[in-house]
Amino acid sequence: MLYLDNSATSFPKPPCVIEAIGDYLKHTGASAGRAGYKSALKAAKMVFSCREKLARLFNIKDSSRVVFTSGATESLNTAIFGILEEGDEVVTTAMEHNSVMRPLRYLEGTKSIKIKFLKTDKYGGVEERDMEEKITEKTKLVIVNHVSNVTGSIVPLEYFRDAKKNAFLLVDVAQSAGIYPLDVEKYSIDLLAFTGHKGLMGVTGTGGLYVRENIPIKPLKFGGTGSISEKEEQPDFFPDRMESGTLNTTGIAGLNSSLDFILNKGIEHILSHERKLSEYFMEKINTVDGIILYGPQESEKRLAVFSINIKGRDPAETGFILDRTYDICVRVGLHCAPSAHKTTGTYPKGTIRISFGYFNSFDDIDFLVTSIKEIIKT
Amino acid sequence: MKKCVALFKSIHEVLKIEEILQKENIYCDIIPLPRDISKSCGMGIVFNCNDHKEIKDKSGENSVEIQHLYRLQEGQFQIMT
Repeated sequence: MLYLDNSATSFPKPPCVIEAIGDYLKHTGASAGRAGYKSALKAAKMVFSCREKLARLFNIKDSSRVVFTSGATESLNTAIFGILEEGDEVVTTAMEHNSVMRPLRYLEGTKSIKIKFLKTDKYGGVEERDMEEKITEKTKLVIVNHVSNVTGSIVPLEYFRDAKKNAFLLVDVAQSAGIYPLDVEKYSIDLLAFTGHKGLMGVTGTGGLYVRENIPIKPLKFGGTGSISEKEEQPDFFPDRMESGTLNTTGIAGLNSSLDFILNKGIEHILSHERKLSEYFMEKINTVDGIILYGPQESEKRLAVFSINIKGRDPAETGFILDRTYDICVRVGLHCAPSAHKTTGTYPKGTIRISFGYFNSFDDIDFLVTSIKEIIKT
Repeated sequence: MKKCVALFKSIHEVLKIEEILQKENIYCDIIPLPRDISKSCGMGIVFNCNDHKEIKDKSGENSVEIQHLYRLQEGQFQIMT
């Protein structure tokens, strides 16, 4: 099997992730932060260690501001529902995932929030002048998808940093965390939403949200935290305020280990590998007649997430043949971002999305492109 | 060794101060606290009372807030001012 759907979830995982999860389940097992016996403390220390590594990866000064969630969707929902109030103004782009669009549309209908969309070119790029005009002193929240899950295009975060005025900047790094260097200080990011199971190479059910100090945010969930248990009010300190209920300690054990893998390899090395894959893929696919490639052609303006179509063919049919005949896993259709597809001119049929990961090689690309050529001939 | 105990608001801060003190080779251990003195996360650190000032300094430097300090004497927790 050739797995090329790393934008959905990365596969395979580094072997150390599987070992860490197995080790936790076999030898620790306890819930973190709820008791003082040795294995519970071991679990709590592992969770603490994972938080510290995430803080290091994103240049976050205080790791207590990193809260664990079930993934980027919960992180984005926490940020959006936790910050926006009746009548607030939000600025965002057409390239957002439905995990942003749907909460915003819900609040538009129920809390009369005002959504302003930035002009977006067919690659997902934004104009600085348009940002300056649309982001005003009234804007409470600016939301941007750092890397499109449809086209792979990278949005320059410095544009948003420079234009955000008094607004809080929420960046969705579901596609870029673990692959691209991220720095909350450099880009003045107030809220960073990430998932653990894509570029961070952990397992599904893990993710997190960074919240800068002094940002007024309501928790999405209320409940037991293992702290100030004598009180019925939610704690006001992080991370407890935002982490009610038992954490996914099993998943966090895996994430803790995958972060070691990433930090040992180095983000620059991982990015360099992705760029080489991107360049090689574009070089090969651009020579195939009948292929439309969406998104930027320059490897430094994108990550290795590609949307393509074969002229005159439905993407669903091609995806089916790739799977059944060649055992290649790709995603086809609309990738949970309808406005992004309208922007790139791929609505309603969608695209064939090919997303490479750290463990892919040039040989994988050769096999994919040869398979696509054969499909076109038939 | 005369034992002292420091309380923090969250288990995160307990683990953070433990890591800092370990790096500085200052003895400490994480212990569960009796309910009557524990108003926070139920955990604290026990340490050598002689390191009391250094632990206060390290907490301050690293933005970890000690909520209460106790001296452990004959099994009783005596609050330190």
